[in-house]
Amino acid sequence: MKRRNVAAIAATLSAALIVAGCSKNKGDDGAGDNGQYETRNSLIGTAEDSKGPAPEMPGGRKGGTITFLQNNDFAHLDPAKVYVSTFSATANLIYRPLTTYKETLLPDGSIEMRLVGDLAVDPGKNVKNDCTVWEFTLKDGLKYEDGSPIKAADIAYGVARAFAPEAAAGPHYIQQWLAGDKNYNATYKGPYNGGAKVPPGVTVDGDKKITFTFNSPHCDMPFAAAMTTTAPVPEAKDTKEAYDSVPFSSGPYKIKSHTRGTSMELVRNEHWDPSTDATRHQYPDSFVWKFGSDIVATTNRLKTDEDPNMATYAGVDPAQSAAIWTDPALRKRSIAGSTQFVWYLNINTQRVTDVNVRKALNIAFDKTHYQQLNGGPPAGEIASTVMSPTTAGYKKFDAFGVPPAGDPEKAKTLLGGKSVKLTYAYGNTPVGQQIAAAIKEDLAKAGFDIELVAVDAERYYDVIGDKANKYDFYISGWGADWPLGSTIIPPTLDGREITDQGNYNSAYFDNAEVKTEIDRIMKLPVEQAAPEWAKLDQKIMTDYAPVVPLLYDGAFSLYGSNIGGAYLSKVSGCVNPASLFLKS
Amino acid sequence: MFRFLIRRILLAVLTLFAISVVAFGLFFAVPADPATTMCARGCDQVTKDQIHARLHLDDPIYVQYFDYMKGIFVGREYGAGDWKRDCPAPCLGFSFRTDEPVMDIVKRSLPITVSIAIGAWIFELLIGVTAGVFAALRRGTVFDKLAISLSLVGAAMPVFFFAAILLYVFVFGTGILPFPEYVPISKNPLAWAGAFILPWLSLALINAANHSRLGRAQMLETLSEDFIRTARAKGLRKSKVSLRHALRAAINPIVTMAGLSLGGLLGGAVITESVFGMQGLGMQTVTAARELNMPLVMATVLIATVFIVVANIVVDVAYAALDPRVRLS
Amino acid sequence: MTTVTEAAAAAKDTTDEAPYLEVENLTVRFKTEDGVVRAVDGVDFSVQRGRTLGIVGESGSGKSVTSLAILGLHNPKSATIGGRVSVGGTDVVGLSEARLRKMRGKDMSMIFQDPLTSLHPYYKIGTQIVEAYRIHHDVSKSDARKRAIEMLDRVGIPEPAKRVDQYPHEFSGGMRQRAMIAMSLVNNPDLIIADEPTTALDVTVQAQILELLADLQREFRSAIIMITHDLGVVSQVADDVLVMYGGRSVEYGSAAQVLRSPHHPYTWGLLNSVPTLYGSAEEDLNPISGNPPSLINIPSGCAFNPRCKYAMLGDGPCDKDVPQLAPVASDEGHLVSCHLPEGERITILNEEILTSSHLQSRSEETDGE
Repeated sequence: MKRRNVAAIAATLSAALIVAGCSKNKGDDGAGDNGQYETRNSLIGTAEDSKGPAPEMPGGRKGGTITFLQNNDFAHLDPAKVYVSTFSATANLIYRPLTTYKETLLPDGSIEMRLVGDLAVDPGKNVKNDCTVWEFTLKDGLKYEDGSPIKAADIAYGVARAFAPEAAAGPHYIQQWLAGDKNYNATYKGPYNGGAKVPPGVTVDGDKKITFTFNSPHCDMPFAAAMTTTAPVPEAKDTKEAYDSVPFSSGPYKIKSHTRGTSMELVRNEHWDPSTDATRHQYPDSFVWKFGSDIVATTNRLKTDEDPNMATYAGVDPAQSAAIWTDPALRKRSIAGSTQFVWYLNINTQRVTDVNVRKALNIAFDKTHYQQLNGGPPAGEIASTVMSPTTAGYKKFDAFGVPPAGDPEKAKTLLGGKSVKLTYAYGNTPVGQQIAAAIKEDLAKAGFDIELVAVDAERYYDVIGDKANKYDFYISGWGADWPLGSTIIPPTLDGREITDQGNYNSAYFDNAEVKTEIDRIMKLPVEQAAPEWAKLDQKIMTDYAPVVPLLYDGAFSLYGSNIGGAYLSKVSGCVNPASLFLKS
Repeated sequence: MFRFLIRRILLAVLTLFAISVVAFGLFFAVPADPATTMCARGCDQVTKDQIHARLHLDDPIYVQYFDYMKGIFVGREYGAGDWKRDCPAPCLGFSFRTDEPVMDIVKRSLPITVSIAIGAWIFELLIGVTAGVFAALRRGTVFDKLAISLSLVGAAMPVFFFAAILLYVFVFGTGILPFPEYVPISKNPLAWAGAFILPWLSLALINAANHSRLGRAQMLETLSEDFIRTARAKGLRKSKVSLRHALRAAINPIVTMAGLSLGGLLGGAVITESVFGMQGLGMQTVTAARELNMPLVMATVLIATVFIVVANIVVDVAYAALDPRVRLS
Repeated sequence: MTTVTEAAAAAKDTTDEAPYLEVENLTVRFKTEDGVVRAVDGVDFSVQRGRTLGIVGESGSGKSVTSLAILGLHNPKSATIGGRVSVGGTDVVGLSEARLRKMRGKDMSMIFQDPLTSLHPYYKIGTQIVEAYRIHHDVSKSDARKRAIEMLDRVGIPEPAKRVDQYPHEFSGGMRQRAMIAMSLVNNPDLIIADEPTTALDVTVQAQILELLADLQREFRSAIIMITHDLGVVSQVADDVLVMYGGRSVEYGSAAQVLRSPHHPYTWGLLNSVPTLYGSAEEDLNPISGNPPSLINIPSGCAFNPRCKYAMLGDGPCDKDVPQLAPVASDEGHLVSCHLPEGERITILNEEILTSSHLQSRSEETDGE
């Protein structure tokens, strides 16, 4: 979930940093193999599911200190600003939103994910059953790190804070829904400078009840409520910019010290009551984050198991990933699998209007070559869908029935033997150049004549996000904010999202049939919507082919030999620190 | 001497001013919008405009420059309304990425870079000059040939590669040393030195190559000077001729080179910081440049300029102190 | 060689005292990548205390190499030194560095050509003299400083107490050479080798320096070797003159003998190429044609033969046999190494050389001394 920041994406594209991967993708061993929709009886959990304590991790044990190695400090820990997945994975130890994801490890090694109430007793009550009014009731016995009770007003205050212009970095789904406008803070600008402490549309009823009222239906509200903006912030504890470094704890750990850019130490919050928490554990006495360890140093330190109590969110050094991938001893100490990120070749549908050309690109493209240039299997699994396998309702399909290496002959037939001239834009980096050269060569076999245009890597996303760009196709990535098609297909393939600049729909795909379908599915309860998004995914690919899905971005990272409870979280795409413990 | 210093300092201030103007112009005129970095996904123009306003990015560039300079000398205020806060002089602005005062970032990362640079500098001079001088004194011997070969190897080897080798050998391979982790010198000087010994060696051994070649060449040149012959003709013992006469005369170009190499060491420090995972200013700046975090990049440029300008003045003064023929006026 | 040595001894036998410096069959060879350089090849001479020997020759003739060999300043790794060099009765060839060091500066000292480069630029004049003094005298720094000031005073440097704390670059050329001389003489050496001591100075200063040297010699009764390419200097100060060419001595005798009735064509050439104050401005100088020989590839026979206009080539011996230094029959104590028969040399000397206005006026100058 959450986005990767632009710089991170640029770096991934540029420096062959796609170093994660997966051996056993859930799409392989799940129901997807049979062409069935992945059946989830309970994508949204019940009040019973929301009750604490969380089931013990097998072998879970209290005590010790787990050290996380990381290159840069968390840019943000303020719940109003947290958006990057590793930030929220860490924030998850410190504060609790209204809802959260409960990941249950199934005996077959797969993970079942359910949205449950976190501070709330359940994942929200759809008061009018039309998704416009959502009510959340807080659990009993919720306390902050100072022992004071958590109140509904503090959640309202947290939601209000995210309206502030200073909090532009965070997600603003709830704020936009409350304002009924993408420009969420045109009138209400948060609780500062005399603004109301409770934002318009939010009502607080006593200490336990908070209600959100929207102008239009937003059935995804339980998922949006799982983002950090619904975490409680007591007004008295709002230290504004300093809150970004040391937020007030409502979770199992509190910040003992945080020296920006150097280290951060989390210690147990004794006022956290496990019986109120369905998902978190409190195994280690403390967590220490050490910043400044780049990917190479981190890989080497974990590889040599220098300190068996170390872990990281970071991937594996690309230069070593192949060797580590094939080393059984190291693989035992690694998490690997698909994340919520997918890499696509966006075809600029404003320019490439012939659907057969777009289909031919899908058919001719050698995805294995692309995977190999990005570092092989650890980089990720070859994709054929717009939605990632981590998405609820994910259905594996291949709209064109071609092998991953493509079928240039078949594409040639589709093109009727004529030569098609297209322009490919890429971020000007060594790997970007290699990929560009490979694309030109591979597509030439199908009769494409590709002109390569290098773009300044720093400005790459600005260039392809410009509606008036003069390129026919280019690569970009997308990660869902929550595991539903609603945070994938509408932002990237809805024609109404297209603006002059800063587009995420960089295929500039604008199709009436798809828009109608999006509107229909958006009104469905999420349980029903999930398979419908997968169907729409397949329809878009089969009928319109606006993108060529390339890779389901893989996560691949190591952890120390004394670490237990490590798994690849479907929520964050990285290890979940709240389940970790030290084996001895 | 005094007048010379005043003149040099004035010149340095002018240089700094010119560089600050150019750097400011370059960094703040880049087409990339820093608001993109600070803005969430789906960030619209209105939000971006709010960010621009908060950072005063819409002001004319000379006003921004003036505010920046004002911040350095008298401090400034940052943010608005309830979020307004003071940034006392010297205020280098706030990180676009984290809203942190750049000065705070500098304060915690500069000691790391300076520790690496100065330590490596001392080592490289000790190792390089000693090796060069001895090679010159033992010209043509095995020692000389060894020193020449090693200095060629050193000159050809990239720092990051050598640093990685040291790391593998001493940390991951044998475990003789723990992985370097920065400890402030004020807290524990021994741990501080322990953390930096590998970064120092990796930079110093590579850079020592230059100093040993220069030291050797200078020493050989001096040894052929007439005054060396004079010293020997006086009946001085060889060791005294070598050290008191030859080395004394050869030291000036070595000092000049040493001073100028400090600037290069800053660049080397960036690489070692990255290999050893130390959050020095170099690494911060590399990240900042990638993230279009201009205030931090700007601060680094200014600090590096001050560093190099001061190093140059020190070299000039040292030169004058060492060579009575140089008149500082 | 014995004959030559005896002849040399005979030539020098003007006083009863034994020579302070005796050089016999001195050879200095350098091994280089291009071959062996025979920088000095069998040279003999001697100097008594109180007397001055002028060694004359073009650059590369071996004169400076000879002087450095006397002080043992050649690098033993690259230079091979043969023969005998007796300084005050001690043979310094093959002497240990430790013993040589004790003699350098004390028994024999050197005054170098360019005082600017020969003095250490970073040490004060006084410091350098003090250092020279304290090498051989176990005295305090302040005593040595007094001695330095005294020496500066003695060599005619005004305000010596002030100048002692100045750096070489603060001295004028002449003063600098005086300081150099002061440093050389601070230990009262018995032998002073002055290697082109006035070349870098202008003419008026030159004369002062030479006078000073002569003065000091009278006072300290030192033996002096004056190495120069300037016959004017030689004529002013030398008692005896050795002319070197291609690493060998070609002519040796008293100053009067060598300068007034030279017997070697090379000496003739040297004399002819000297401008004089009295010569007419229109008259061309007569430099010796050609270049000094390569010391790696010394011409066969007489080293001077390619440049000698009297050389007997073809059937003659000049490009075949190396001429030996032999007494001039008609002039006792005068040695020359030339294949030309003595009679012919006298004829040429009288008919061609002495008639040249150059030599005429040169002779007058010499007379004036």
